Amino acid sequence: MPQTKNSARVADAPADAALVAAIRNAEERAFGALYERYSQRVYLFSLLRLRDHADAEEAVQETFISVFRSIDAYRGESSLISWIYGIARNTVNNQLRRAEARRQQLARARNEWLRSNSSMSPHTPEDELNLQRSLERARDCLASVSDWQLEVFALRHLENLPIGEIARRVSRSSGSVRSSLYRVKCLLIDAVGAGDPSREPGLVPDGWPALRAAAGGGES
Amino acid sequence: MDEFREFLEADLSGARIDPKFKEELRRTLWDFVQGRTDREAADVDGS
Repeated sequence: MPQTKNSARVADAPADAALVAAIRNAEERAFGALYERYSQRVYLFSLLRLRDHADAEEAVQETFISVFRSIDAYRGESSLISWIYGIARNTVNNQLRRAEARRQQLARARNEWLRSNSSMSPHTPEDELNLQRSLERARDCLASVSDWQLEVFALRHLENLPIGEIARRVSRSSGSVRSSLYRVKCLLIDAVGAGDPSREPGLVPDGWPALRAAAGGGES
Repeated sequence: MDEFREFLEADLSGARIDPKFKEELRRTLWDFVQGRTDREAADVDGS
């Protein structure tokens, strides 16, 4: 197995086995040694793939919970680093799959909302052009928002869940959920110019209440 | 194999894990490990 600069030996079966045995006996020094040795590496590996610090921290947490929960299952057939790498990789892949599923769900919800709001029928070709531009800006805006913030927005405005339930589902504080909702609302309002109707001549009044409702629905 | 090499060399990158998060997680994990051992000991005593 190759060795890397600044890292401990990559594979040393007796040392790995001794470390694991000590952790099973709840020896704090051994626990700390494993955590110190791999936390930074798991974090950076996750960050490279997830490209978001909060998501990478969540992956680190899930990885190490899995490591210590299943420490009894480690048999020494592979090196400890390989074993931890396998858990980290699976954790990150699961997060990526969940993020993709949320993106697809949001895309479906967005398309459904656009279809159901085709009552925003433009009256003139100029109206239609303005409407299309507004929708494109809204889509671009949503593309710039992180996955968990998109999920929060969808849970609130498409599924009408209360803040507390949303916070529980996304494992964030209620304050973070509220801040995120406010931020996305502001981005959308800016994107479609909803705050200043005079900037969007031809934005059909029929669509206005729906957009305002989606952006400013009351929070409990 | 490339992914594993990235994992091995990840600590060569400049970005650092947030120290506050790292310490909070450490405490949480240690509580978990201790609690696990206490539960196992209780099972043995009770059997």
